[in-house]
Amino acid sequence: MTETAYDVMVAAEHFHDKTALPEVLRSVFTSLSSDPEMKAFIDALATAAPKLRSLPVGLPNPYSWDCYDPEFAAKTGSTKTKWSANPMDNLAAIPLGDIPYAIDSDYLTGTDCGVDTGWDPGVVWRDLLGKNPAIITKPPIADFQSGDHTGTVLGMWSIGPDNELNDIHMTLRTSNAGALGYLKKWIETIAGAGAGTAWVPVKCGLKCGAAFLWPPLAAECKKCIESAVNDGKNATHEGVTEIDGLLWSDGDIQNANFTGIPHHVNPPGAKPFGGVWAVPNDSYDDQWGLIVDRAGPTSLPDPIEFVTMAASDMVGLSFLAEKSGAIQNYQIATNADGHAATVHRDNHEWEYLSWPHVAMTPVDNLGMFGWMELEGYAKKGSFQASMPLDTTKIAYRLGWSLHAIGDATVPMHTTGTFGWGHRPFEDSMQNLQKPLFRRTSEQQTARMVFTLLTRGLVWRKAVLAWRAAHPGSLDVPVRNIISGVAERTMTRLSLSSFDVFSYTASTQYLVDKEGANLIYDNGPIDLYQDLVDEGTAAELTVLASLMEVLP
Amino acid sequence: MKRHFGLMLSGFALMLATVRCGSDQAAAPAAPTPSDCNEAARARATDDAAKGVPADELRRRLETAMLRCAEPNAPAGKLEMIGQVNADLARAGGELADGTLSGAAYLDIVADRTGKLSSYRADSAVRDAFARGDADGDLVPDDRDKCPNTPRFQPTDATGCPLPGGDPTCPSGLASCGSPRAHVDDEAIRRAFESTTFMIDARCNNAQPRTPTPLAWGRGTQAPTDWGFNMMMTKVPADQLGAGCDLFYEVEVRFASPGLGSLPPIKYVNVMFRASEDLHPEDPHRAFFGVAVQSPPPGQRGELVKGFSSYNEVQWRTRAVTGNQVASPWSGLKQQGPAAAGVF
Repeated sequence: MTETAYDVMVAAEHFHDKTALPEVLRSVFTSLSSDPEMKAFIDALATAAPKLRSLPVGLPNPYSWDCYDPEFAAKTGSTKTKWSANPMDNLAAIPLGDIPYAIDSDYLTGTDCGVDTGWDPGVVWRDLLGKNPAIITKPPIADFQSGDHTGTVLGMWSIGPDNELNDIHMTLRTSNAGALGYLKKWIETIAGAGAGTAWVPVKCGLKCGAAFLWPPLAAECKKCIESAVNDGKNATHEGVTEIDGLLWSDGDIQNANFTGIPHHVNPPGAKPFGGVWAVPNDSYDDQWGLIVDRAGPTSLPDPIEFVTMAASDMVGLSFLAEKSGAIQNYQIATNADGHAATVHRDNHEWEYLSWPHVAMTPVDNLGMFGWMELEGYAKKGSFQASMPLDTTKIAYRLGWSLHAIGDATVPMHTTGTFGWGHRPFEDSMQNLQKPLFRRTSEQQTARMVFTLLTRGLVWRKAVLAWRAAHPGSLDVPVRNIISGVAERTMTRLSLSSFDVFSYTASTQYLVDKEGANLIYDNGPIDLYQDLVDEGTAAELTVLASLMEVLP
Repeated sequence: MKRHFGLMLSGFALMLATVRCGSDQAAAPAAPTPSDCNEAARARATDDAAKGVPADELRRRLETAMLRCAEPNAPAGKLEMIGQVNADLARAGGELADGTLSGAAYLDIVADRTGKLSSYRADSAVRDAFARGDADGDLVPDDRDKCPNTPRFQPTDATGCPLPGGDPTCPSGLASCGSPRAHVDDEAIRRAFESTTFMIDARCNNAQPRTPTPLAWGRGTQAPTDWGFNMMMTKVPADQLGAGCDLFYEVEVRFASPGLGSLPPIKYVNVMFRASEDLHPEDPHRAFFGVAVQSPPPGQRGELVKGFSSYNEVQWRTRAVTGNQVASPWSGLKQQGPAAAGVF
């Protein structure tokens, strides 16, 4: 999404600068430019692109300076990477436009050099990115080692919040010293020390957890573990039956499955929740984020969410508020953008109940946090957080706002559920990237650019209207944009005959990934396209408008 | 069972003794930390359990005591209220897992308890009233409770009177009959409980492994006389995960463009390899995992052989998972065409 948004900016730059542009694309720009507002938008995109390229890339050095991917050596003649004129340089300060390789999405977490050797921007962009006037010294793109890779780096940064393990810390509230130790002790007693990995059914885990407080259950715990360990000796385990937000561990627990907890937003009025003891949805923010006991499109949690709630309550799995970056950072104190400030909860309040019953902050707050920090690092803009000047952090924190926009296009993120088909839907979106980001012909690409510019202009007008209402500010109301995209996602879903929410798909995913993924692989590509286009258009506007805030 | 429980008691006693000894030996006694306080609360719970205190009450006491450790100056009644909510939710979770509580009834309990807690936190009059007493424990203060003898664990209305229940066509007392929350698919919940396992390896800590990067797949040798399809990826360092901790490489493959029209257009295969299956453990940077062609294994590994043999597009990604089920993020997708030779 982010890479495509940047690529459209580059096309606008070519149109604006009257440099080489395929005719079919030029005619899109020419016809749209007859509208003065659109022309101004295209001009803003064109002006923003080189500014964006000049931002520091902010990358840490790669995990390995050598590339073990055989394609790298085949195409470069060496396994050695050369990121800049000075080998082993500190990459962070290199301008985005000067990064010599396409960046892999797992650059930050992987165990190779972080280069995406299979990168191919597609027919039109292969020329445009290579012939960009600002990087004219580079040849047209042949592969991952030529061209402008700003888009791939920004795309990688937009994944950042998914890797932010520090966002959520949890602990077993009542029994961390007892229940899990009890469970582990039984496994060792039954299978011997160094027994290796045991696959324990969740029900056994719950029995053992409860046995800590209720000794009569200990016999059941032992029996359960015994049969699990014996079954496991001969079993082939072909995957992990993991559930987001559920992990049986002890102490201070962090896990990649937890990082998505603050990535939800429920647009106001989007789903029902009533009854005599209903808690108001806007108790803490003007929109609410994930709260598992009312997850899903109809406030009915799906089966894996029931399991999560039951298990979390039994073992007492609660947030560790003081250590959780999400809790410390995504309670937004300002209302300067027109959104109500978060009603602050102290650490105790976050920790009283098991986490599925605690209302997490909405994802637009996550986007706003990133924005405030990037402005703080740049010392520019109206929403600056108090940060030291450090321009190498701008692209990194921009990733938070871009990520939030992406989440707002995912139906399960706009109904606050990690079930209801969430994982298989996202798998499919990733697997369908080729058809979704139409790059195989000039005509396809031209249609995509037309759509993105047209929709981007709607968001751009919203930004300009906000600025007009806030004289003196050139800022960007990112929370409005994230919330607006989420609302549009819900509206679009209501118009579709395809029910994207499957009550059983997430459970099926645990035991039959293929079956679950195929539900969405075979779903309506036009609906997916529409959701992705809206997010890309919003990102296009945010990127262009940001460059009016920064120098 | 009793012997084990006795061991636990001894363990707690030892922990407490250690804490006390530490204090005795210091020139000035150290102030108790929240952690000491928590351990003492757990030890009291263990004592109570040995005395036969019922599980519900035990949990309520423990939850309340541990809240008190964190917030020693909380107003009267507040922590007792939260402790009871947590104890009731724990019981509800257990009964849902056992199948003795329906999904709809479970949601009623959750909404009732969390809703009452919310009302307590939002309304000082409720807090004052609750501090004066709630004899039947329905979390509606006595001075506004029109049904003072509500059975434990029973959702109520705002006046503390039990909500209607027992109607199988409308199993929720809180949600309207037409609401999805009133009609929960209990069979689906049972299946979800049965489908979920935890991986536990006592040797692993909670550190997250890094992501293996998929490099190439192709034909290759697996033993002096065998050959098959091998997958090459970068090796994940295991030294931070705990001594002896099991490490797994999970591979997800999506096959497309089948060679035969009779095959499904898309095929998914998911396989987990143990790090110990690495065909070249001596390679410091790359791991190699293979599936034999001559005698394909059953299950997903066999499906992997079929996929590699009969599809023209292979898109795959990898991640690492520890024996304690801590997973790395997935890698990016690696796209390849038909089998290349030379992944040895």
